[in-house]
Amino acid sequence: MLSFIIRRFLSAIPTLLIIVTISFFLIRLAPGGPFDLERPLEAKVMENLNRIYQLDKPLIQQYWLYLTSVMRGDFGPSFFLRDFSVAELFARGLPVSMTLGALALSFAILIGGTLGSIAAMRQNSGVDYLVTGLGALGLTIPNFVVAPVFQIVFGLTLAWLPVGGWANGSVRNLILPVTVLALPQIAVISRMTRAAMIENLRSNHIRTLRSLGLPLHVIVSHALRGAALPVVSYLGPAAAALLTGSVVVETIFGLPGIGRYFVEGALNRDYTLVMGTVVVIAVFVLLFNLVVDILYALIDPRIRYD
Amino acid sequence: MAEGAVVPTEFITGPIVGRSLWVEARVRLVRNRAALTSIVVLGFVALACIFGPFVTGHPFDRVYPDYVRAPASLSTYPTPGQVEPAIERIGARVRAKAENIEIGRNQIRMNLVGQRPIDERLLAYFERSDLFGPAKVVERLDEGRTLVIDVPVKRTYFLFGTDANGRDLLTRTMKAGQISLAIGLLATFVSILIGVVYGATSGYLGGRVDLIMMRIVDVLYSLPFIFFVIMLVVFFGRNFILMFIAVGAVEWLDMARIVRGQTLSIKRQEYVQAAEALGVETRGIIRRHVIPNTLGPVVVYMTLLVPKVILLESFLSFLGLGVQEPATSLGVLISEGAKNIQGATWMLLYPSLTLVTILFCLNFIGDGLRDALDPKDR
Repeated sequence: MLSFIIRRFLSAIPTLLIIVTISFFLIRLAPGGPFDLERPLEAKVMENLNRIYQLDKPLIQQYWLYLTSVMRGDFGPSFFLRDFSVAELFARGLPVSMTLGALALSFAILIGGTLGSIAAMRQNSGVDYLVTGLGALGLTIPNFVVAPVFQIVFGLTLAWLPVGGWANGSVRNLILPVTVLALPQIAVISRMTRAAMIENLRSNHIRTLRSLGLPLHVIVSHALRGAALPVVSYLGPAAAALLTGSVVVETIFGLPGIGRYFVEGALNRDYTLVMGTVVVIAVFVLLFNLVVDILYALIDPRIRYD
Repeated sequence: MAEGAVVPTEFITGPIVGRSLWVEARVRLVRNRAALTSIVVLGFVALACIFGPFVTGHPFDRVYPDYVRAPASLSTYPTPGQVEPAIERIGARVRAKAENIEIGRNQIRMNLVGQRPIDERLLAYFERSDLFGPAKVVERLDEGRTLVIDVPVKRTYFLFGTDANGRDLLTRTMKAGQISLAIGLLATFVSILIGVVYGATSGYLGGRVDLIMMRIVDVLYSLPFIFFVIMLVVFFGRNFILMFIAVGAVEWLDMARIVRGQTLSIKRQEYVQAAEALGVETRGIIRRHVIPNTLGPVVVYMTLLVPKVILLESFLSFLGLGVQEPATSLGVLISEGAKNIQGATWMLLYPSLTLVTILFCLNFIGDGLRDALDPKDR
């Protein structure tokens, strides 16, 4: 197991390197630069700026410089938000995004798993149709529609919750964004759990448990273990979806997360900020895939990595 | 089912008509209520989006300055309450006061009373407004200080209301539906094309080529795809067609994996081995034997990909990276609606309903197709 984890870690390094390379050259080749304003700067000023940020060197050399500094954990200064380094921006934004994402993911697994199991236990009943219908709704209504509607209903009309803002992560401020972020994931997870549970409930080992007359909760817990596999393998994509979905949620609810750095950075050609975001998100996705593989082995004894 | 091995030959009277996979799938699909209803509804929405803008009587980019944020209504505009303030505004420009206003069904008669003789050329203000037609002078009194005029009222419908610039929302929603559907179909087509060719090649060639090709897919998977899309949009500018291609170029990864998996099982089939034995070249085998047989899952995935692409386009438009004015897409309309949600709920309501209807239908069709094409899964 340990050797597998180490091997996976090692194989993640070239992947990460390729990602950094692709995105570095992609954003560098994009037309425009970080200091292009509506009124062009004076040539001398531009030259100085380029020299300070080492943009006047050949691209390959810049790439090498960037790579070595990232190795040392230095993401460089932000070009657009000039008083901050990228690391400082992440130190502020990352906890916010991670709280949101982690809460939304656990929320989605809890609610989605429960709903899916209930639907599977009572297949083709009213409850089942309700869950499937809600799942389809959750998948089809985009979160930038849900978010303003929630703001109006719960924030303004009923005045139960604040419309936006972070307020140091107080629970009341978190409820709306986490719910909006979790809804599509709840839909997907409940759908997957339902399908997997139905298949599992028909399998031989569950039939044996039933014939032995074991109580319902024992049967359910055995079936859940089998049904968890597809859901676990979905966690990798789900983490990525939560990170990108947070762009919209953070914009609408005015949260200081890292989601918006992505769009802002790319549009303002803030090279270091974009690269930093790409690296952080890629690391998260790779990490999650690793966790998924390990969880897989823990849940399913048939899988051996040695 | 149709293999005649167990049927004794003496019972067979006529030739057996084989039922192909596609015929059976169609029968099963038609039996699926939800899918059938979705096909009908989606067809209706698509037709409405394509032909609707010619029927509503409003060009999609026509601005009505007098009807900014007019609520959705089944009755005609102008409403009774709108006429008199409009006349007052025009009266102020003509430098006259409107008196004895008689509002008829399609005609308004009034006396314009001014301090000095009224310049009749100024009556063109009536025609310029969105509410009235050209004014006609019936009588001149007091040496032109009082004019009795007839003004026809222009009756217009805004079934979905108007947007923040005073454009008809129904026409714009239809136009947006057109563009969103077109983006969905084109981007899906691009991604299917790339994905099928890539996956089939990788799966059929196998070995080291397969390993490298799939490794590339893995790497692209961990690249935050939204970054990729944004970069492509930044690169190509906000060009409509290129955006399709950009979105399509990002979404082919799943397709490639699915097709590769299918190909791996197909290439061990007898007919492929027969073709190999006959010396058919690799490209021919992939084209003639491998790709056609992967189409079942591809069709299913396609119907599920179209809604995904439409959502992605809306997401980009919501961020301001998508379709540009005066053209519009459902995402643009929805993001505008979200901004105006407090005063003008209809601006969010109708585009969202359209989007949700389209997505719902496509999802149900996709599920129906999966059930129809994959008998094992039932």
